[in-house]
Amino acid sequence: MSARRAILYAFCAAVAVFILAPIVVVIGTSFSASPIYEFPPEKLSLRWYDNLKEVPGLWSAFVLSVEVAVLSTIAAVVLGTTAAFALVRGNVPLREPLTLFLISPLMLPGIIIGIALLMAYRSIGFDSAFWGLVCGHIVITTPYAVRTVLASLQLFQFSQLEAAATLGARPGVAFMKVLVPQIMPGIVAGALFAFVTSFDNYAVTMFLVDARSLTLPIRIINYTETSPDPTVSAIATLLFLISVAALYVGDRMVGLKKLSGVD
Amino acid sequence: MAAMGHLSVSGAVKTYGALRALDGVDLEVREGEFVSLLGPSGCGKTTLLRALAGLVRLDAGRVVLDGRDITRLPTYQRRIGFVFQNYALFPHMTVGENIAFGLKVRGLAQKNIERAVGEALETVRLPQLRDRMPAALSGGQQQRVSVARALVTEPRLLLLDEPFSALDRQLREQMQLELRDLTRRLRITSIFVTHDQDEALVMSDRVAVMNAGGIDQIGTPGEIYERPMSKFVLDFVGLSNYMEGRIVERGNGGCLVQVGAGRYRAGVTEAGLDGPVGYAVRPEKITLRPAASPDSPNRIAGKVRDVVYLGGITHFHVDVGFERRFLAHVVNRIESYCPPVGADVVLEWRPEDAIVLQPNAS
Amino acid sequence: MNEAAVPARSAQPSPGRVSTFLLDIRPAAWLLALPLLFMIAFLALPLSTLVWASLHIYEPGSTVPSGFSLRYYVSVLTDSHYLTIIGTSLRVAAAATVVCLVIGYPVAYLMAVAGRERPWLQMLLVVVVFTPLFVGVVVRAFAWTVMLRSDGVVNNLLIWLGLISAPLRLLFTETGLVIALAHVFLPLMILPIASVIQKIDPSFDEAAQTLGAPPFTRVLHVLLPLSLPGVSAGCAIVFCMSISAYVIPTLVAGGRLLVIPVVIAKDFMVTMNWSAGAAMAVVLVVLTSLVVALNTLFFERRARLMTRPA
Repeated sequence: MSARRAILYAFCAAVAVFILAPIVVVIGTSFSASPIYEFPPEKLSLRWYDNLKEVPGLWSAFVLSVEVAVLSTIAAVVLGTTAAFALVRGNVPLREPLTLFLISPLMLPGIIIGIALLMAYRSIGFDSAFWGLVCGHIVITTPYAVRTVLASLQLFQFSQLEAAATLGARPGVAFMKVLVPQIMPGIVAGALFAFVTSFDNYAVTMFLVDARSLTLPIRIINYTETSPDPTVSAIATLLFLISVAALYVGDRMVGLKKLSGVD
Repeated sequence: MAAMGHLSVSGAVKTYGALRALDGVDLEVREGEFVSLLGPSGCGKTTLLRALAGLVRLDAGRVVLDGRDITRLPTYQRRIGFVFQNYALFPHMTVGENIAFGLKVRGLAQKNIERAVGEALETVRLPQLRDRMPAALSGGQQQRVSVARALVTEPRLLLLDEPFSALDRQLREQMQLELRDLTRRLRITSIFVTHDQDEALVMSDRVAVMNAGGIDQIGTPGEIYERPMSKFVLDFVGLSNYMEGRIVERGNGGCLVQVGAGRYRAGVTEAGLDGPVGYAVRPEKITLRPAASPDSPNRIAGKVRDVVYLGGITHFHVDVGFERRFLAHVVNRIESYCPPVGADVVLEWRPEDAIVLQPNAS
Repeated sequence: MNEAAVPARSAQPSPGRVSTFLLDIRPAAWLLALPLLFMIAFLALPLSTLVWASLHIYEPGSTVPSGFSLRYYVSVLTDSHYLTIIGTSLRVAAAATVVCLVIGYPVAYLMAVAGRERPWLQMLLVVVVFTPLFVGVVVRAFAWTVMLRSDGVVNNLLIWLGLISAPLRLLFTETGLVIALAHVFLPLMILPIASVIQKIDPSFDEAAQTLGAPPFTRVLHVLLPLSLPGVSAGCAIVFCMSISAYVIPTLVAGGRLLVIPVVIAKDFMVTMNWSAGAAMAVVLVVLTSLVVALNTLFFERRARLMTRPA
């Protein structure tokens, strides 16, 4: 191996360490026996995991986050897929600006969307925190679905459906057996990104929750302000494991490389 | 100027896993020679060309250019010119900048670069395109620019990887003649990869017919066409009527080959051939007659099965018995004998026009 | 059967051919209705409410405006307090972008080219770079609060390496914030660049080799120019996300280091100065939109040049 290659490998290894280090540190501190953030931990203990049930509202926050994320993801996939179809197949006027508009929430700061929705809800007197939150999350998750399904559809050759018809397949059959499998990567990718975005979201959510129902990220941040002990590390570690599981599912269904845009 | 472009390849080997892309290839090319590497896909011609460029590293063997062993030399130090199949013009540079690239890398003075680029563009007759972007050029123009770019650095060796495959037929034929003319004028050693036998015959001083990682035969176009040494070369270049038989007699400047019940004469034959041989005649060497002429040494009788009219030539497909079909090409002149389908004919040819070779592909 | 006229786009169906169910032109366009209406209702209208609010005066504590005024914009754009904040935000976002670019480009390059010879290496890099995106911002921001403490890993490492003798204060500083931002958004710089580099036709590099260019020249004159669309996309994303970030500055820099999103939140939640907050919000949106527009204008067009030659 040439010297150039070796330097490149070493540099990338260092960057990889930089990327992974914070997560490793957090996981490490969650197993520490002492109530300060200690890395590497001198004595190992599971007390902070045990402590999780003592944290008030943690479970209900988790449940709420999951509910909101699931609802938003379903809506995002439905809206995103129908939008993608319309944009690719429909002779829509102003196609480019409309696409940009649908994807714009990705570019907008989260708190702006949160504030705007807060003001809008107040001004029309809409006061359901739960549905207001869900709608806000749909706004920020739909763009992911639009983008990924659009990419899949643009690669699809619609003449395949004509071929299927010449081979005797009725339109519904052709749709299910020829089209859907090929855009499945786009749908799955969109769903994954949507779920993570919703579950992890803070900036939009902080303006739309009320004191009684908090989502998990908000509950976590509140906890760090009141009692900064490694319980948060334990929560973070568990969230990390959930993410890895979701990524594994995504890899099985679609392939990690396709999801990330490489290859 | 010192000797430029004498190339010597010995024992070149390249394997990809289980595939032996190059199986011990030897090749000698003189200065100023134009050699084509001709063969079907997968025969190793492109691998060999890229190995000469240094884009592929040989597992074994040597490449010597003008007496210098360049086998382990990286590509950018080899002083070669390479024309890619897809031209590979840098899309973010103008035509002029593309051509200047090799000179800039060498550190030439800006003034000299400008002059050289201008001359290169004149040579390929595209001086007006200097400031255009490659995407704005037609296929033929892109092709000529890529040739200019490769030649402007005055390489010792010009390597071309099927450069005309993307062009339509008329343009391709024009480019073949232009390139041939150019390389002759510049006296630059050129190695040209193609799967098109006509192209190889038109352009080359010598043609190397490659098969499964090796060179089956190398010779002038005439040698390759008129005296192929293996069935592969016989079949790859041109059409033929082929039979298998045995040499039963030698002498009188030729030999006699027995095929089934028939005996056919051949002219000068390789001394090494004996026993079972292949015997072939090219379609244009066959004369069609309504009846056998008295003094013809080689004849075979048959019935016309198909007549295909191609304007200047007519193809006759003739059943000659034993489930064999002969092909005869007759130039369409008023005096030519053109029998209809179903006619009984006799096919005749001269011994000197017969090809005798090894029966199996070597 | 569909009888619509033939449009010019390649994905459009041919006229009068096989009915393709949902995918004929006329019905398909109507599919856009639902998503579009939703977005208008929950995005466009609320945003215009925001803009409207920024142009009106709110008495403290009331939610009904009392008059039209541009003074919030004037103060946001001229008051030194606000200008400092905008300057800090720009500086921090730019620094994070540069750091991401410098350390991310080589990784993106390796990720793109490793696929040919060593697929396992490419897969490894993809896992390492991509997984943090799924872990979420909150967890990673929290991780940095742990790492950057005076008794935290970063300081311990620096002391151990002998680079410093006393712990540095990294939390609540710009440096710490830039590090945290760079870490969180690094994958968003690497992935677009890797994706573009991977699409570069290898014959360009080979052609440069045959023309005598040594490796460094090839990087400078072939690789970098052709990867520019990816670079600009990555920079645009990282810059916009850095300047819009709320969670990371709040956790890592606290209330002491003020960047635009933190100030906006304060205006809305603490001081109840909605108009000022709205004005700042509009400024932020304009800044990010400008960056996106610049990127699209200059580089999306060039990106089409760089695909494989005919």
